[in-house]
Amino acid sequence: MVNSIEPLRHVLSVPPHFLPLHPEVGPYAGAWNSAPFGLFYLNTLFMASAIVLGQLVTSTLAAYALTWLRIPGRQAVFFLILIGLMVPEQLTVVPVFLEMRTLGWINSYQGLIVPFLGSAFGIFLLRQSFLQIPLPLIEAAKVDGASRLQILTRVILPNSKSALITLAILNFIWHYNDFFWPLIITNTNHYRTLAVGLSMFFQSGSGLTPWNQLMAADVFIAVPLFLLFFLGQRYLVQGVMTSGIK
Amino acid sequence: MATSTALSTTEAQRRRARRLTGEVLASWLFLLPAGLLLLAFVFYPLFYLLYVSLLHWNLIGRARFVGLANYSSLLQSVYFWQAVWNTVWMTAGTLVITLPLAFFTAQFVHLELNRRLSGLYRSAAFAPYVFPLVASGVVWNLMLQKQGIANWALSLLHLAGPHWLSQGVWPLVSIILVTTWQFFGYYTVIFLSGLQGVPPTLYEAAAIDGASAWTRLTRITLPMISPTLFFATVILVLQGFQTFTQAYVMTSGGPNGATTTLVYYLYQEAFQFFNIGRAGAVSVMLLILLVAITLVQFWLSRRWVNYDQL
Repeated sequence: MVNSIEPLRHVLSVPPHFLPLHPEVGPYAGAWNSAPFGLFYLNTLFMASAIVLGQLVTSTLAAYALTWLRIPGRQAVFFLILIGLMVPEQLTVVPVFLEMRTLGWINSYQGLIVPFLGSAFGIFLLRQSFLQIPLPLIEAAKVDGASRLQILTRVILPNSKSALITLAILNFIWHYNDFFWPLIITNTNHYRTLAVGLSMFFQSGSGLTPWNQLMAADVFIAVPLFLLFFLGQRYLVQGVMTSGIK
Repeated sequence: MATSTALSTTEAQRRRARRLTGEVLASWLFLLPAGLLLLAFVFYPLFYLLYVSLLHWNLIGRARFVGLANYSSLLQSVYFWQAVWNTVWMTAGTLVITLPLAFFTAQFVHLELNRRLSGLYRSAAFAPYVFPLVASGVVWNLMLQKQGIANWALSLLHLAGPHWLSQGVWPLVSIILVTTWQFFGYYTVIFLSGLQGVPPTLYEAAAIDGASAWTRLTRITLPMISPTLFFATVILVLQGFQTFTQAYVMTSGGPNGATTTLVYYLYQEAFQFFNIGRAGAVSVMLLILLVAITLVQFWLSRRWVNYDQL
């Protein structure tokens, strides 16, 4: 933090100082201008929000079907989803990359977003929450002649708010921070995210590393996350405690 | 009369049957979007991966079927085994540092701090977990420079700090440090929730029997939270075997491959050298390793994990 407002020559001083000696905002402007961080910001926010929204929709529908509707082979489907939960992104990166190549989605928003729209974790988390809803509540809605979609939107969703918020926050943070896939699927600044942009900025430096600018970039990447963290802390900790995956 | 009741029963049955097929249809419809996406991007890729691993292919030319050649060349490759052992050591190092540290911190917070302070501590410990790993890598890179904060602190103790990121085993140690910093709070939170689930009556009974702190720890706390410990171990090992970002950002897998993890090796093969088939084979090996290690952990867990909770 301190180093982000210092001139470069003071950053690696011995002994180090923990309060800024010569505060300046230069490094912030410098970092912001030396790579298209504004664009990276927009890309990241757009990508993370789209993934969160998409996952909420697909996971809600699937979890609803798996908890409250009759499906032949429900156990088998759920078992498959549990397996899906255990397959890490790193393992399937090569085949998914090849799929993206076939679809012509390399270096595009689709490539960044679509592979993550379905989530075994999301289905799992929401199913746990939907199971908590008392059966009589659903039966009563059925007696009142509510359709399946009405039961979902009027009874189930309002009763699962905290699980939905937890899923949204966790997912937003994961994808905002995700590095591996965006690194592979993008190859121009136009589609790069903050994490990838920062690593490029870090490694592009020839000669003297602009540490102060890097620290400034670190700070402005972290700001939205910490805002989200303080607003949604309760849900985050709850989410980690109940599910604990990732 | 009799006929009319018979008719209405069949009518009701038919209606119920129709409703049932309607419901089945609806549920498949609801499952469809998520199902198709998971099929396309999780399950199908696993099979596709097996196929790709049997090819010789550089993405540009024609793919050639080479059977198990990729596997046999991997097993003979010094670099592959180096990546395997780097990953194993990195994961083991993180495990033996992070879990005890997180456990004792959680124990301290649970026993010594009041509710407010422990809530505050939980937030503070959890903060690094939401910080982007890339950004942590950059910050740590600065701190571990030859003239960075880490070596300055060591010099206060009259110790000469190493070249953290370029000398001997230190690059590996540096990555373990960053990983520990990043995830230690997460495991503390998990352990805290485990500790909160141990009924206080057990400790009260032990106190009456005059049990020592050590006995309380080994006879009550550890057995009672063993499921949590087991869960944390499984997750940490799975995560350890997926380490990539730290190696990419801090050391680029170097020097001389000293911090090349399996996933970093996979990345290089696929996206720097474009040996797609070979990268596929690395993925399959990683999959086999992960499944094997997890199975062994479950098998071992029968000996030490206690599921007879009160």
